[in-house]
Amino acid sequence: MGLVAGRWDADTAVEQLYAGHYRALVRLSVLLVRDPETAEEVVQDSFVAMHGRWRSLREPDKALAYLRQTVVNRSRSVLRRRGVQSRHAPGPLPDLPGADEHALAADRRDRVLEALRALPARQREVIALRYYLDLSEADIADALGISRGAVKVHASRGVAALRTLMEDVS
Amino acid sequence: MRPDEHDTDLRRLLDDAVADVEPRHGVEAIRSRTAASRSRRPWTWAAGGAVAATAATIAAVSVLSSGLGPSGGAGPAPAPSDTTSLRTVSVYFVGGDGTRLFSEQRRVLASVALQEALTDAVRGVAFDPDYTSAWPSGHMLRGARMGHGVITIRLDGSARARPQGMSRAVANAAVQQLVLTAQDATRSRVPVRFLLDGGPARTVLGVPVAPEVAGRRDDSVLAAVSVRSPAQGATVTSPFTVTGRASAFEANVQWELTQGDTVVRRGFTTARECCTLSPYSFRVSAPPGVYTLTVHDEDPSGREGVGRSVDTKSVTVR
Repeated sequence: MGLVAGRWDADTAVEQLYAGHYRALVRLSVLLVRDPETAEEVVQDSFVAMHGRWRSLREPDKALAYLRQTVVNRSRSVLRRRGVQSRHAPGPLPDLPGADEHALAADRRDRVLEALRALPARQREVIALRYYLDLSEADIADALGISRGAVKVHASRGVAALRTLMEDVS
Repeated sequence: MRPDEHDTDLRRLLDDAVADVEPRHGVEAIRSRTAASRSRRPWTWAAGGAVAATAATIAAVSVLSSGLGPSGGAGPAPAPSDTTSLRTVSVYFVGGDGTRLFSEQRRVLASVALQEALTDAVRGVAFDPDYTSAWPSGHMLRGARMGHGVITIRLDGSARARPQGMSRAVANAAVQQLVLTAQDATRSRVPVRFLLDGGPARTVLGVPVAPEVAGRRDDSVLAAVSVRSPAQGATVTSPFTVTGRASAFEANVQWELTQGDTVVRRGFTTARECCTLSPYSFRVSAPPGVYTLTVHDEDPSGREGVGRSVDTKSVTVR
């Protein structure tokens, strides 16, 4: 097991990247799929996939970029697989106005996640990568396999769509 | 409100929205799966352990040193019957709605081609980010071998039942992912026998399976439109040829070359035959740049936009 990043083996890569990024990746996936258990599965699958192809990644930066891309793609395919059933599923029950701060916070979280869910997939992904992970336009373009121009367009449309929400809850 | 205030607010809202998400026991779950895949590396029982391990390492080195990425192009000329000889295999993944199969080519060590190809298929190790595995997890694959006119694929007992939430269509796709990948890796069309925990499988992911499962290569299994070349992420010179297979209404295949939301080129072609999977090809010329190539069938309902079946590739024109 090497301490130099360049000599990491696949197991070390999993451990190091897990320590540094697991929680943020799960939270990223929650922003995309909403359900925390699904998000955790998505991220675990992504780490297993990363382990499987470590020999072609070999560098922590590349591995992290691969993890992000895989988490976003797997989150998207989970939504796709769910697509049919969620369209027929009843919407969430309206929240009763909460009296205490905890209920208010939970309500705010729900509304943010709900608003994200209403966005087209690409906009949701761009917004999450840009405003949650703070990725640059170039990194987002790489992660999503789209051009930087497209990232800009999706970001501005997503922000515009979320603006109403932000004025309500912020 | 100024844009930067928007940005700050949005960051705060998103942070807050997931601030209460505290994942649990993740690393043990991951470790058990990566450890399982290593100790049960399929080829360790297919051949002598140490020899096979060395061969696998050679495969990794060869693939890297030949610079083979998604393009899967020319590598070093394989020495016949050498342990380092490479074979081009097709690995099948699901894309689109998760029930139709797409394939990708890659070069793997010929002596473990079957095991390498199946491992990539189950784990969803695809170059194209739109492709993934229909399998719920990579650790269900135990091993595979070819012999006596049949390919035997060994699965973990957990692959017997269909996981909750998985549709039958996805489970069917998962089974065919392995059958087609195994046939192509062995350059055969022999049927596949599934074993669960060593015994004959009656169901795989809840799908009833025959003692010998045949591969299906029609558009009930394969994607109605797929691009074979260029591969995801390929660099090409203009003009370049796009090839693939389509089963399209009136054999019409449409395509666009886009940069962001801008359509740079568009056109259509006709597959050789209508309404069954048949080959198509067309030429595209475009100035240097990074593009998304989208190939799709016509929407017979006449609605605007992309048809029902679509394959996209990132392509760099040099």
